[in-house]
Amino acid sequence: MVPGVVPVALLVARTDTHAVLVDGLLVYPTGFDFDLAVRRHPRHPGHPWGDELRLEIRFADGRRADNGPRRRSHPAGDRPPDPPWLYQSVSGPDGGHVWLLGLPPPGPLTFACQWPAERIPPSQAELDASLVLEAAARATSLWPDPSLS
Amino acid sequence: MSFFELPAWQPPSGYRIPAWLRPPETMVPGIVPVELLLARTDTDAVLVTHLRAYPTGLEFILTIRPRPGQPGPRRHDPDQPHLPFRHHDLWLELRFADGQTVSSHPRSWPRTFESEQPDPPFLYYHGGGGCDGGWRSGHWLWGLPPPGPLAFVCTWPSGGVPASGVEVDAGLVLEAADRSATVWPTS
Repeated sequence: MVPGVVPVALLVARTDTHAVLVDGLLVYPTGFDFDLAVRRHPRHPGHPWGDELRLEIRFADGRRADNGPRRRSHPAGDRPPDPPWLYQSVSGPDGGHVWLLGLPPPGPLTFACQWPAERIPPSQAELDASLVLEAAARATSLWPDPSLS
Repeated sequence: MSFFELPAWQPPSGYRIPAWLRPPETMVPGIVPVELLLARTDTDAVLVTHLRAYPTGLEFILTIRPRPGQPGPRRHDPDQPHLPFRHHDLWLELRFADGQTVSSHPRSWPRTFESEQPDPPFLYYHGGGGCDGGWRSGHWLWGLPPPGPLAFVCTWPSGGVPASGVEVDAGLVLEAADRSATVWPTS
């Protein structure tokens, strides 16, 4: 599919030394993916090893998904996970790439993060979920779905 | 020094990638609200995604998406087994309203691009990666396009794609660049 674009970049956290951005939000009928980018102030280029930025996405109806270790395993068998389900395919000191299975309901969509090792306190930014839903409606198929013929 | 003896630790050299080869590290980009389908065949699609604009240029990703459900590994070209990837001859050209063009082909780059700031526009290709499920490569356009039509044109002989592309209004890029913001305004 050609995804729909959410034309917004979110500054989720900012300290004197770090900033956490969410951007590159590309939306499909089944969910959306985005880049999680950690930017360091030029005067603070270092980073610790062995710890990761924690991310949680909260829907307006109270459902939530995060990148904590307990969420990383797939459900047993071929059964798809229940949305919202977050999969961070790339993870490192500079951020990562995230896929969220499931579209949010209308209302505020919250991106929350914290990174104690980098002294980033719990921080969050909100996006109007309608931007995501409108982008999902703009996604188009590249080829006909053979299962529909 | 024996093979098992570690060399003495050296402090980081302090090298930083020159500003003309990367987006600004301390800015929130402006998002260009388009996804571009450059070419589509029965087996693959070529897209430009993740367009992020800054005052100094435009970052984006060139992506190949294989059609789902195709048989077997397709990464290697059986007619050219010495070439490891089918994507080796995928190149991108940007055409500006003022007649200038830039290409991702390294042969089009000035010899001194790593040490001396080239005149914009300059299209830098960061390299790519992927697997049978898709391939993507990062690009950085040093310098913003002039107002008017901005064409993204790809050629990919191994993928059966002759010169093929789309035009967008460069105003979308310029407006997005205006929306970019500094993370630390006082730094």
